[in-house]
Amino acid sequence: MRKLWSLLWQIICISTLIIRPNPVCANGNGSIVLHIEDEESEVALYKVPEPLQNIEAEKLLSTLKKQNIQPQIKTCANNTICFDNLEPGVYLLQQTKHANERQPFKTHPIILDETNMQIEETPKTAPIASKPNYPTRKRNDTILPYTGQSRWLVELGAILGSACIIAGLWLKDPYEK
Amino acid sequence: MKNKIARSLIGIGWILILGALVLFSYDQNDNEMKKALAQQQIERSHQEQKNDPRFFGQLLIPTLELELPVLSTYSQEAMDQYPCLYVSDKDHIVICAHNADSHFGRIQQLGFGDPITIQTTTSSYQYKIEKVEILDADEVERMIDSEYGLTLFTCTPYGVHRVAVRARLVS
Repeated sequence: MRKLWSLLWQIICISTLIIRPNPVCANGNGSIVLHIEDEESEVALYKVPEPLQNIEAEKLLSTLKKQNIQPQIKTCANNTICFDNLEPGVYLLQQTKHANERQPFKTHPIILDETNMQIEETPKTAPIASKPNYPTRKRNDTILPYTGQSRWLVELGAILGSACIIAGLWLKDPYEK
Repeated sequence: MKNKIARSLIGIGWILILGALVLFSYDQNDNEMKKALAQQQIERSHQEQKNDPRFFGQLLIPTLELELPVLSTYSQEAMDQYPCLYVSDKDHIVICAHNADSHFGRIQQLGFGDPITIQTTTSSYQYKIEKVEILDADEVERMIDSEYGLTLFTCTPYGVHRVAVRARLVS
């Protein structure tokens, strides 16, 4: 009987271990891992204070800078940037350095909450289009060239012609010799 | 007397309608000629095109199923045959063409995000349309605005205004 109780106790302990919440979440420490193609990347992570969390994403960065909020800055190693020991809250990611031939990724907010404390993402850093080198042609026209066709003349001719025929038929007196 | 006037009016009417028909068939013929010329030039081998300094490159508008060679200089006579490079500098070009269906006659149907490709002898550039606008014929400065990498323009159907398609370089 004692063995049975012991076995039951072990099952309960193992089940508790299996279904326990993630220890990182329990501690309130989260992480944001970025996988970036651009090896020269440097990314700043701003913690957004609660009163600023309703500001639109586009205006958020300038507001944070105005309020002199200091970001955590990390550089890319093996195409990965990792911010850890983060508390739940709203964060703003901004790429502060990028390779010359690549565009930085779009500055965007990330929410860490108790249900999702480990975030991994692969922000897109598109290559910058190489600028064309077209020949130089200048003009000093005061009016743009006429590029029309005589389509309007066709319509005008058809309308006026029809009008003349109708007017002629209307004027025609069948009794006049 | 009344009948004399009526007969004259009917006669003039028929002449006008006949004239319109002649012009219409001329336009149709001109359109076909432009299409054939463009096709001929497109079919020329790459090497031949490279050696022909008259041409700047090719313009591709998949939405309208248009593939047109572009002349490197502009003149009213040249534009009767092919679209022309009207103004250009390093990374900005303005191309004009007649509003025939085989040239730029349907560019007003283009919309935001439609792709346009410029193929020169050395490179290929992809553009995306950002806006289509109507300008007055004397708004030269606005038309050649370099904020956009590529501008295509032609006359509106009655030739009073100009339709400008603005596109930005994407790759």
